[in-house]
Amino acid sequence: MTLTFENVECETVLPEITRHCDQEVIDRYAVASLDYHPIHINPEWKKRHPNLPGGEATIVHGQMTMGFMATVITDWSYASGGKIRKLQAKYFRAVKVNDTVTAGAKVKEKHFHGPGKDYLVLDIFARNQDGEAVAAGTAELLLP
Amino acid sequence: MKLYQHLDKYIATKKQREFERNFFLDVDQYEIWEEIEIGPVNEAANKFEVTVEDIKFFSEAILDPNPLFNDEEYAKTTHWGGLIAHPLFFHFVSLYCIERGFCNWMRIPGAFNPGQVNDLYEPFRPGDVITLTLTSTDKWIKRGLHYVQCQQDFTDQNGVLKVRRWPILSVPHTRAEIQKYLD
Repeated sequence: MTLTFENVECETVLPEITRHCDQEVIDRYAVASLDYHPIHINPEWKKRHPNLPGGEATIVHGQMTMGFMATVITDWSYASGGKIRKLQAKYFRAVKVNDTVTAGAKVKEKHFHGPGKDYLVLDIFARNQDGEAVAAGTAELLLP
Repeated sequence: MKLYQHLDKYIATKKQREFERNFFLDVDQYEIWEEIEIGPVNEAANKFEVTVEDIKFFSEAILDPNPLFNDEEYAKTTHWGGLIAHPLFFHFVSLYCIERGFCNWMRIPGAFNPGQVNDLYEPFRPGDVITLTLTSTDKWIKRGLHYVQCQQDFTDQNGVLKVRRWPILSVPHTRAEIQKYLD
């Protein structure tokens, strides 16, 4: 069934995605984004600065975690004409190297503004392999 | 000699080859929290020309195999009419455009990101030439940490605003504080 604004209901749960984040994944994302902060890519430096998030471990870029939450929505809706217009999130806990992140989303609100302007508000979240919340926020999705 | 040579095996594009990946370099020229002025608007030094390889590499690195971001032929058959970039592509654009210029506090070793708001108007597409405009919009202290927020506007060659976002960073707030992270 094609996804439409009309046939989506509040409380709909989107399929989750899971991503394992080893140092190679972090390094490759650093190259792709040009974000070479040592907190992500320099394990020896990070051991010397355990006061920063993640303790002695390097951490995944927050943008990558945000990206996983975005992917949940693009996988679900972009082939049907969905378009994310807002993404906002806070990061509660660092995603450490070798963590496994599960990201998901749930439809919270439907906003009726007419064709081309109708949109959904979704709760978005990410948790680690221990079930601890690492990030959460909301997204707005235009849907035909 | 480039820092982080273990990353060389991933370098695939011109932008990646030319980008200075040593964030410790010229650290004495970084804007620090105490010096950041709220309000002035500046254009980032570099413009970003979006290529197919940029979009594909980014999609692969963010572990998203969606063919809209990877497969030009498939993307042409969709209502999008062609390849588009993953929604988080702005991260790449912003680091490239800022490099060591205005708002370079984003590169300070010891900084970390507690959250952000992103308004996405249009996806980035191959051929876009993006200009990034930057404004420091707020700075504050909370629980002993120093935060700064800026507004970033990404506009294409036709004047279309593609993305407006407000990243926040917790940053070392004095030059002495930064020194602790330069070992």
